[in-house]
Order: sequence, then C-alpha cells, then structure tokens
Amino acid sequence: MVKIHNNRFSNQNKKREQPKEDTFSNIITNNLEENLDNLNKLLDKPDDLLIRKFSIRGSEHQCATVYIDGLADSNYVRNNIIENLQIQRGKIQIPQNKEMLFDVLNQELLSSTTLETGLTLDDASNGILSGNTVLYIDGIDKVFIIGTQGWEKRAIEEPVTESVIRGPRDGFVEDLRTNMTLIRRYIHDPNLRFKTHQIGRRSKKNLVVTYIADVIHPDILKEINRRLASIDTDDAPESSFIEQWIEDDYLSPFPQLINTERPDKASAALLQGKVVILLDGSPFVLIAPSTLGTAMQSPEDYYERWTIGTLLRILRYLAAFIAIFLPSLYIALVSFHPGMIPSNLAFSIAASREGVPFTPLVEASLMAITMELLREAGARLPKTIGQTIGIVGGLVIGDAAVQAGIVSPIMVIVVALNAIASFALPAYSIAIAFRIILFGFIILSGIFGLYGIIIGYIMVNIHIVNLKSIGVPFSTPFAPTFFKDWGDLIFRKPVPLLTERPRYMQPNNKKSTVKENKE
Amino acid sequence: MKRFEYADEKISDNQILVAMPSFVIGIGILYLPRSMASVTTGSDGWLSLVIGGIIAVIITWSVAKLSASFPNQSFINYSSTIVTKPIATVITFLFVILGIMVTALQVRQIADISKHYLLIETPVEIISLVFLLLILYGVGNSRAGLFRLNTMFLPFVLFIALVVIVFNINHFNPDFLMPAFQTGFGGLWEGTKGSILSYAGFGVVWFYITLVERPEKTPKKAAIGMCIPIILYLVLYLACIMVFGNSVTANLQYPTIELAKIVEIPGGILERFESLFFVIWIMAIFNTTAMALDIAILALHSIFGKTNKIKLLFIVSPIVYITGMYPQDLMQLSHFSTFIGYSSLIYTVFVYILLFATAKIRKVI
Amino acid sequence: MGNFLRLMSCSCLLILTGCWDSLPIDERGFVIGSAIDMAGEIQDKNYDITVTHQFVVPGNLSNLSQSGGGGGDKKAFQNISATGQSPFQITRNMLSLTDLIPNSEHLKILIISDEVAREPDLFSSVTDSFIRDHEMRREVKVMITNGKAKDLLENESDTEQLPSRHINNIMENNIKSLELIQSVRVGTLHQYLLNDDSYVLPLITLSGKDINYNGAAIFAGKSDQQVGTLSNEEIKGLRLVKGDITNGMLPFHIDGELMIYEINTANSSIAINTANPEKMDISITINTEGFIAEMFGSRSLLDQQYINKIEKEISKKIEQTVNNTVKKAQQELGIDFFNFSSILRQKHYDVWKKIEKDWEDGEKLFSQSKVNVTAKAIVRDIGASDKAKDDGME
Repeated sequence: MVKIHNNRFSNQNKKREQPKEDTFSNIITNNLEENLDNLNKLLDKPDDLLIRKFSIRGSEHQCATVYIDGLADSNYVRNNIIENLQIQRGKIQIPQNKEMLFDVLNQELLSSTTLETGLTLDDASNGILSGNTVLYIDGIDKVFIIGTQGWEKRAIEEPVTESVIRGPRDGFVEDLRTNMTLIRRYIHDPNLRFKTHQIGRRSKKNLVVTYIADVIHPDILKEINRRLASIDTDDAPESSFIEQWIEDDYLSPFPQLINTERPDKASAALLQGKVVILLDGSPFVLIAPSTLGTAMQSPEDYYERWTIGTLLRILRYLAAFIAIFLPSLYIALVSFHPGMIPSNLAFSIAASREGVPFTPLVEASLMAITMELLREAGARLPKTIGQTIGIVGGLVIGDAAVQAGIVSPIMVIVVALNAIASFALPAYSIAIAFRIILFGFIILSGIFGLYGIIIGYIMVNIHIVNLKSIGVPFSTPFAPTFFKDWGDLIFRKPVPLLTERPRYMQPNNKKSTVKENKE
Repeated sequence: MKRFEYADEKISDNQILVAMPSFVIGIGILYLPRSMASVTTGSDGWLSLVIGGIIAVIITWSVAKLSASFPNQSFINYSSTIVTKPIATVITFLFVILGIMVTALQVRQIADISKHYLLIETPVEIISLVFLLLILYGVGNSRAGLFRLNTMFLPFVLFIALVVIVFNINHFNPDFLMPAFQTGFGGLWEGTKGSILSYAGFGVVWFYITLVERPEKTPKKAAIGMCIPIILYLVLYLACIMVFGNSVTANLQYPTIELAKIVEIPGGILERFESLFFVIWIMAIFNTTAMALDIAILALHSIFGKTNKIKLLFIVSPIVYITGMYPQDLMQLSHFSTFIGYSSLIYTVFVYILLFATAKIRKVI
Repeated sequence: MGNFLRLMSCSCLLILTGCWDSLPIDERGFVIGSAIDMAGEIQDKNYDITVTHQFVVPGNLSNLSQSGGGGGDKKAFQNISATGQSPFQITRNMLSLTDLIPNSEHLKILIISDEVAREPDLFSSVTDSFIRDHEMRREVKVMITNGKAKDLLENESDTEQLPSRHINNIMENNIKSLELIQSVRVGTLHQYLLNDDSYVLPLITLSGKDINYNGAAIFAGKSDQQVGTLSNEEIKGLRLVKGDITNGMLPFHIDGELMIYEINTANSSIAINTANPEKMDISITINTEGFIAEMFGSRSLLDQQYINKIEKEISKKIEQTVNNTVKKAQQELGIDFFNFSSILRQKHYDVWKKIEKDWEDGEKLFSQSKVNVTAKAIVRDIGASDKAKDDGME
C-alpha cells in the first residue's frame, strides 16, 4: 500500500518546487513594485500579509517590509527593522550604489539575530510563511529574510498523558524551537546533534532528528535518515504521521516507535543511543528505535528507589497480562474447563450465571465493547461531562446490567479489572494495542478454550520476534538475548549500578560512566 | 539494507545451545516415564535414560563436529564435496522426508493429547489444522524469528516443569525408588532404545550448524544443549516414579501430565493444573514442530535452489497434514512414532558414518 | 489482500462451526459425590449396580446466591440414581433423567457399599471408570460403607448443605485421631489395584442421622475384594506400624488408673530378616514421643521413677495393640494389610521374586512369619500442671 502511495506522488513532485506559472516569475527583479506584485499574485493578497513601503532615511532608496501578521513579532519588526532604517542612530553613510547599500544594510543597519538573503520568490514566500520578515529594496534583485518569528505559543506545562508523581514537570509544546531548547537544557553535550529535515510538500514543516553523535550506532541514524527522506506527503500534522511513514510493519498492532511528551524521557533515550524525532507543531516526540521492554517502562521507575521501581515494573507486566488475557481466560475456564476453577468458586459462578441468557463469549464481547464505548466517549468529552459518563457507565455496567440479568456479576468484575489493568500501562499506544489483541483472544478462547489462548499467544510471539523497529528486533533484549541488559528490563538495577548503555542498541561507547570509559 | 549485526539471519552458537533442548523437548517426555517404567523395575529406568543420553550427546557432538568443519556451507554443499552431488541430493531429500514425517507426527500427537485433556468433543482434524496453520505462520516468517522463539519459550517450559516437580515434593515417596539395580540387561536395553528415541533431535545439528557464523565452539555448545533435556527427563522420570511408583507409572498413558494433575497450587486459586501444564507444554511442542518443518524446508530449498520459501511451504503442508491424519488409532500412531524415531536415529548414524568415512578416505577434511 | 481473504474465510469457518466443547458452566451438572450400591440379588456373577450421583444445585447454596433463590428451604443438591452394568454406562443413561450434563471434574468422594466391595473382582471393575476417565481427578476420596451407600448422600447435616462436602470434610479432619486411617485417594487406589498388595480403605457408617467415620475395610490384594474390617483398636495397631502419625491419643492404665498419652510423633522402622524364607523374621521398632494429656490418678509426675514406669507401660500398651492387629492379620485373615510385601519387594527383591506367589496364598508365608514388636515411648511433657488434684482429696 505504501509503495503505491509513494509512486503516485513522486512522479509529480520530484523536486518539491512550486510549479512555475506564466503570470509571474520566480526570480526577484530589480523592480520593487514588480516584486511585490509577484508576491501578491503568489499568495493572492491575503489580509494578514502586511506590506509596509518606506524609504531609507537620508536616501532615495525605496524599500518594503513584508510579513504575516501573527506569525512575525510586529514589535520586533518595528523596533529592529523599520526603526533602524528610518531613524538611523549612528552616523552611517547611506551609499547610493545599490550593491554597497546591500552590504551596509547587511553589516550595519539590520540588527537582527538571523539574517539571510533570498534570491527567488520561493525563498521570500517561504520565509514570510514561516514567520520571517522579508525586506525588499528597490533596485536590488535580492531580499533580506530577517528572523522575526514570534507567534503565540503555549506555555510549557506538565504533560497531560504522562504525569508522574515525582520527576520534572515540564513537557514538550507545539513549538519546535522550544522543544529543542528543552532537550538542550537536559543534555549539555557538544555531541548532541539536531539535524533538520523539511517534511510536507505543502506544509513544509521542520522536523528535527536529534541524537548524540558519539553514542548512536551509525547504521540506525543512516536508516532513519533514509526513511525520513522517503516521506512524501502534503502535510504531517502530528508526529504520528512520521511514525506511520517510517515504521517497519504497518500491519502490526504494536507501536514500533514510542512517543512521549516528556523531555526527560526523550533525553534519557538519547543517552541510550537512540534517536529522538521532533516535529514542528506536535508536542509528541518520537523515540526510535523502541522495543517491547521500553514500551513497558515509565521514567518514574528511575525516579523512585530501585526496589519500588522494580516492583512497579513487575506490577506493570502483571497488568499487561490481565489486560490481554483476563476475559479470554474467564471464557475458557467457564465454558471449557470448569474443572480448573476451585470447586466452591465454580459453584458460585454457576449460581451467578443462572438466568444469564448469553454464552460467556457473547457476554464478554458485549461487556468489552461497552467498555471501549465508555472509554471512547469519555476521552472526547470535556472533563466536566467526562465524569458524568464515568458515573453513568459505572452504574450501567456495574449495577443495571446485573440487575437486568444480562450479564453475571463475575463478568463485571472481570471486565472492570481488565479495563483498570489496561489503564495501568505506561504508554497509551501499547495499551491500545493490547486491547486490540484482547478481542482476538476472546474469539480464540470462545472457540478452543485454553488451547485457543495458547495458539493465540504463540501467534503474537511469532509476530513480535519478527517485528523490527528501525532494524532493531522488537523483542530484544529478551530474544535476541542480551543478559547484560536484563538489569534494566523487568528488574531495575540500583542507579549506581546502571553504568552501561543498553547492549541491544550496540552504542559506540558502552559505558555511561566517565571513569570506565577511559579504560 | 544493512541491519544490525545481531538482527540478521546469522545464528550464534548460543542459539544452537538453546535450539537443541527446544527441539528435543516435546511430546516424548509426556509418555517417556511410562515406556521406561514398563520395561524396568523400581527406578532403574534412570540408567537407561543416562546411557541413552550419553549416546545422544556423543552422536550430537560427532555430527556437529563434522558439520562445523565446513563452516558456512550448506549441508548439500559439503556433502556434495564428500560424496558427489547426486548422492548428496538423495541424502538431503531423505532428510526432507524425515522432517515432514516428524512434523506430521507432532501435529497429530498434539491433537490427540489436546483432545484427551482439553477439548474432548472437538475433532482431531480441526485441532491439528489450527496447530499446523500456526506452524506455517511461524516457519513462513524469518528463521531468526524461530530461534528467538526458542529463547522466549524454553524458560517457560523449564519453569513449568520445575513447578510440577516442586509442588509434588510432598507427594514424593522415596520408598518407590527401591528396588534398585534389579533390571536385567534386556530391560535396560529396551529402556535405552526408548530413551534414545526421545532424544532424537539431530536435524538441528545437521542443518542449523551450517548457518552458524563462527562454528568453532558449536559442537561443544550443541553437546551442552543436549544435556538439558537429559537432566530434565531424568528429574521428571524420577519424580513420576517417586510419586506414582513403578507399577502405576507403567500404566499411565501420559505420566508426566498425570504428575501435573496432582499438583495442588497453594491457596487453591487454580485446580487441575495439568490443563495449564499441557497448555504451556504446547510451546515446547511448537518449537519442536516448527523447527522440524523448517529443517525440511531448508533442505528442500537447498535442493531446488531458487524456489520461494512460501511456495515450498504451501506444497509441503498438505503432505504434512495428510500424513499426520493417516494413522487411525493409538496403536498405529505409536508404531508410526517408533518408526520415525528409529529411522531418524539410524539414518543420522548412517549418514554420519558414510560422510565421515568417505571424507577420511578422500581426505576432504 | 488475497491472504487476508483466505484468513477471513478460515476464521469465519471456525467461528461458524466451532465451539464444539463450549458449554456454559451453568448448564453443567457438577457431580460432587458418587455412591455405588448393589441392585437386587446376586445371581451367578450377573449383577446390576446402582450408581447415585449427587448433583450440586448452585442456585440453592445459600451463602452464594445473592438474589435469594430460596436459600434455606430448597435442597442444594439433587441425587439421581440409575441402575445398570457399569458406572460409565449408567452416568450416560442419567442424561435422560436430568436436564444437566453430568460433569465429574469436581467430584470429591466416592462411596462404595460393602455389598459391592465384598464381591470378588467387582470392586476393581466399578472403580475403573473413576480412574480411567480424564474428567476424574486423582484426589477423589474413596470409602466403603456398611449398608446402602446411597443413604449417606441423602443425609443432610445442620452445618453443611452438601452431604458430600460434609463427608469430605470429615475425612480431612482425621489427623488428630489415631483410630482413623488416612483417607485414600483414587490415585492411591489405582496403585493398590495395580500392585497385588493388600490394603485398607476407610469405612464410614450411618447411624441414625450421624455419619460415623470409624473402622476400616480390609481388601485382599489378589481379588480386590473386601475380606474384613478393622475395629478402632486394631486401626491403632496398624497406624503405629505404619508410623506416619503426627497426632493421636493412646489411653492406657497404670496402677489401675486411666491415663492418656498424646502422641506427637511416632516413627516406625521395619526390618525383615529373610534368611529363612519359610519363617521370616519381621521386627518392628516403634518410637513415639508425646505428653501426658490426661490422668485420673493423683501421683506426681515429677518423679523420674514414675515417668520411667509410665513410659514402660506405654510401650507395653503399644506392643500389645500392635500384636493384636498383627494377630488378626496373620491368623484370622491371612492378609498382609501392613504391606510388609512392599518392603520385601523394595529391599529384598530377589527373595521376593521367589516367594511372591506364596506370600498370602499358597504356602501362606505371611501367616507363618514371626513378628516382633519393640516399642519405645518417651514422655516429653506432662502438661501445664503436675497434678490436678491432691492425694488427700481422693
């Protein structure tokens, strides 16, 4: 599917350039009016495109600043560009020669931290559309693109999806620069690299690949860059688009890249020799490659003491087990192997099921689907109404359904426990994958009982061992086995002993402590 | 596209160490204590198990040594250099047939036991079809994946065996071990024959060792791997004898599963442990079967060269299914299984002697 | 896409035709106890047996059903009997008598009437299906009853709604008594049936409304038929020989006063001298440890002499008890229910091979062998107080 998709676009747009049209040329000419006219034609005179024409003080040079209201900081434009040109404070001689004027402006007059020159209309329009101000000067066939980006941003807040009890409270925001800053504030390493790619034929979003140059395995970087280069899309509104473009297996229910809102988690991944992908406009950054083990970890495992961290992880694996297997085990035991249930419990289940019209398979599917409906309804609603849904759902599921004799009380317990367990998983993307698998297991156990469950389990395992995340096996370090990495898998070693980067990443320098690196 | 060093199809010798027990541990041990107890007195079966085990280790080691002396050559390649291409092709083809037979047998046996302990009404045809489809899915994916599955499943299998033994300790009656050393030579020989059959897993050494990148240490690793099932079988056998006594063990269809049947989990959260035990054991049987089929496919692939692996699978799987469904009753099945066991053993020894002797004479090694 | 379609059609096929074994738990009838009786008179080896299955009616178990369901008034069980040739056949025939499908996975007890047990070879035949059937657990407790086994399953107790569970609980509480033999599981019975050794099974009787668990039924190993019963006193002897006692009391008389010795642990070791197979020498050594639980006399127990005397008296009592039982086994029945034979097999295999045929039958070597019992009792403790009453009070 992806391949077809690729071809369809790549023929038309090999070079990602605006198709040339006859009405205007892409070249910036000497004529200011013509240039502005061209720009207006290209952008179709939008209301928020502010063009301010004026002459540089003490000379005849006509010039114009162009920027988009809201994207650029208009205070900055006024103070640092227009004011400088209209009210020159120093005694700078404005030359008549256009070439010299350009140099003077470049060197002395324009006090901005970033200043580029553009030669084509595309440069100019791209600059304008990304929040820069373009300065046209009559008689010069070049433009200044002055960094004036200053749009409204969300303040840094605590991540909603990954809150922790103990740990940093900052979270990524939609702004790419802020996000890069956040990572830089965690890692002051000269080897920290940010490589920018542009994504989206039309949206032209910036995407930054972050890694630590002397830690990462070069093959992973190469592979990620290769895959990023293959992305061909109009727009990537969320980093999940990137995830879906570059993941290894698009049929798999498992997320092959982990996303996070937490800079501490991202920087920890960087130090393990992984790559972090930031996309402008998305507060979720991608960590690649990721494995099943990392999907089950939370940064808090490290912030609590090691005993608690370890126990929490064991609890989480238990939660994963319940989230996947509980309803199907219930079906298998109740309708296939009642002998496995302890006698007294078996009698009480039998008593509680008396009068229930459905088979356990139907009962479980019904309840599991209801659970999904409730979850989905609750997620979309405003917080205040969301609580109401919780109460209504709780009452409907917990009480009314039992009273009406549609389901047995034990089934309610099973489904509730199952739902709670799936919410206990640290990553929403893996939790949702488990819930998909859950339904598969419900059907299998409805047909074959325990035999069906084990068949399903082996099937999932076959899938997992063949799954890769950017070339790294998803099932590592379980298999392929890296015993050295098991200290930070289910068991979490005390922090002073966590001296090695994960072996399965084959990092360039293995130890994370300085002393031992020298050896 | 260049991948990670460990992520490709190359196999490390540690994976051979895991593959050996994964291949050997399967259905055999479920009824092995019965066949041991029925021909020996008291607990003398352990002698047979150990003798059989030693023979199995020696064969494994020798074959591995031979294979390892032709690093990174497929079986058909190096046997061709020893005994000309046509003969090598015939030998390989017989291995294919053996692999198919083993797969068919496992597919059938698992269905029979599942029917006995888990699904009484479900037709054998359906149970085995589902299992065969699972095997096809496993083999159809990468071979490295199969080896990873070995490492994922073997700990579960050993753990559940350990649980069965540990929770039976209070049922142990050491008196049942007596009388010792009372079995005649005939009984021991019968037992040894039976035990070697249950250790037969030589396909792994013939075909997988050639995939190992640096096979210097592989023979040793394969031999160590072979020791794991020997120890496991010994412990399970002795547990069966100590719990049931010789006479009952000899009369139980699947003594190891019956051993699981009397396990009482503390707190009584689950009864009838044997269902759970067998369900977990299916993982072990899956590994055995998947590798047997994979070896058959690998061998077939080496004969027919360019044919697609998936295509070969679709050709082979109906044969497997029909062969598996052919035996009508328990006795036929048991004859079938004994026949396959012996042919696999004798054939391995025969091929080894043929290749080794010819190689020595023609000075190929 | 093609793969997907194939997968879909396969799974549709499975879902539509599947669920062969699926049967909701409430549609199964759980058999919790079974009883086997003789039906009618025996006429030259042709007999019918009656099997009674006790089905649980979960809705009427009062502590479980939350919606009431009658609770106290209705019976929580339903006994269904049918007559026929074999238990398995009868169970199948029961399908026409009940709307539930019998499921024996929660079977707890199997009661067999002594009429059935006394018939040669019948006992092993009727228990076969309980051993063979995969649904049966090996933990099912087997017991013999004098009279109709069916009546035991009808007997409701005040504390327990299910008669089978009541009997099952009684059988589990035997650890404190020396007069009860340990319950026998079907798994163990299987072993008994396969070996030709003789064995004992628990015997329960119904007297009025009470279920009495005392006595044991002796089975001959060859024919697997009941050949006798053991009284409480005789069971004591058997259990002392077996030695697996953790708790049990032994009353004895000293100077005409009753005193009760509570055994904490007892070990026994049996050595058989096979030098002369015609008259084997079986020596049993029993070591017990315990304390004085009750005394009727008023002498101080803090007297070493007296304690020694007590210990000697206890040892004598033990030897006497064991000798009684041995006498019954050797003289009266000629049945080796002590399982000396298994010791012979385990420790003197070559001798055993030769005399196997002549142990209980033929030459009756068992009856001819000489049994020596030596007991050594130790009084570890005399309880919290020395005397409960003084000399003068008498």
